[in-house]
Amino acid sequence: MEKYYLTIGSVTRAIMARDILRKNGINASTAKTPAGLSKSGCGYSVVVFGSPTRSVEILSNNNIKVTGVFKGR
Amino acid sequence: MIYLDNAATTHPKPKSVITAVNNAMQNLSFNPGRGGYSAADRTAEAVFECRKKLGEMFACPPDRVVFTQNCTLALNFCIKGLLKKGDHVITSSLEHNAVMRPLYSMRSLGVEVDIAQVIFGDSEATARSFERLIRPNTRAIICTHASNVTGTVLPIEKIGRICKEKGIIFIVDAAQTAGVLPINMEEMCIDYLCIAAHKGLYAPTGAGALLIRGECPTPIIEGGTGTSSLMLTQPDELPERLESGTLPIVTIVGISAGVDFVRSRGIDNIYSHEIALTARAFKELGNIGGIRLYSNPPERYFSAPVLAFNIIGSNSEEVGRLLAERGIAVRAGLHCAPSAHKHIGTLDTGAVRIAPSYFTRSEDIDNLLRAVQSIAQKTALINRQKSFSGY
Repeated sequence: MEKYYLTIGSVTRAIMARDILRKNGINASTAKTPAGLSKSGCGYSVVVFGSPTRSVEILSNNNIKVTGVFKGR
Repeated sequence: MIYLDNAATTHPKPKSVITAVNNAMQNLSFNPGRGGYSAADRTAEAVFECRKKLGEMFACPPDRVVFTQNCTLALNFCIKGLLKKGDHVITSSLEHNAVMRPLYSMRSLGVEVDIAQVIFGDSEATARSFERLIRPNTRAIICTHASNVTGTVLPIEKIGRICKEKGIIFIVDAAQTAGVLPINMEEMCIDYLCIAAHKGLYAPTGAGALLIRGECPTPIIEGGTGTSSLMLTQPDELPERLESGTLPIVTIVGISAGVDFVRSRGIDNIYSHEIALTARAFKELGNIGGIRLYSNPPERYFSAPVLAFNIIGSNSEEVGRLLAERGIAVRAGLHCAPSAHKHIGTLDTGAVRIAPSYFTRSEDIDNLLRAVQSIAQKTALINRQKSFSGY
């Protein structure tokens, strides 16, 4: 399965996002956003495997803004 | 030492807090939210865990729990980050300088301030005191939950409802009550709760927090947050917007352990113990001749475990010194709350304050009472001699 970075921003919100996804049965973890993926500089992402569409939707419904979705290596 | 200065900071701290802090010094002294290595991640998890615990305790989302150096800084964030020229603010007559000084400073920037009188023993009348002062430009009510001098609890729920009805921001200084009395920000309509976790939550000093249910105050401190580093402006997201610089991880872990301690003992059990000791001290001090007390008798949920007294004819600082000589630690003077002392008529003399904690024993109060009685008798004797010799 392909790995995706959902860029979130702060580590606080990344942990919140991870916990929300896990509660919804999605295997998620936090990671520093790799350099170059975020236009604004340092930050954190949640990492999910497989299609990120549902994850983005769940986070959006929980008021967590995903600023970008990137395919990881 | 018999420690009765718990309104300043609690002592001793629970063993579980000391163990957690020691453990954090050894295993969690890393910078969370910056590094991408596992130790930094572990540290970030510990910080988030503490946000969750505080959020659960006070009914606030975890990402809106902002760590501050103390309650004073939390209050400054609100007062200086929310108010602007032309705003009107109402505060109470029992406030600490943590509220009064920033408000005074904001007056010079065009913020108008009115003071609502607290009516001891009448929460309805106190709530009306606030309501009467509301004007069209009233932006906020800022008040203490309980006086750090008299222990008087303000009717926060009633004031909160008034604020909600009128669309006014409600900021509460819970320095004396967080971990001591139940606080539910949602039910009490509190928009900003400022806490001193080193008091009722038994955390190390340097532990405060601002819990936010309203809009985010404009930051008064800016700097690195570990996020959006290319931007020269603060990130919009809480809590980082108000948390520039490295967090005090060890202290935060101490807060977490303190919350666990309070939960495990039960807020109500701790409060029952403390208020029973305070009520007993109040009653028995009142039976000693030559003692003046400054509040209504401590009453469940209407009083925090704090009381002030004076030995008539004695300087409060001198009484504090004499108690210290007998191994009893109290706080004498004005308690950084001249407004409250003005309210109770002790601006010139100050007062002696005692505040028990979970760890205070009944024997500690016995010892205090004996010591106060002895000092009061000596004072009365000296005053009689002075009077006799024409001083």
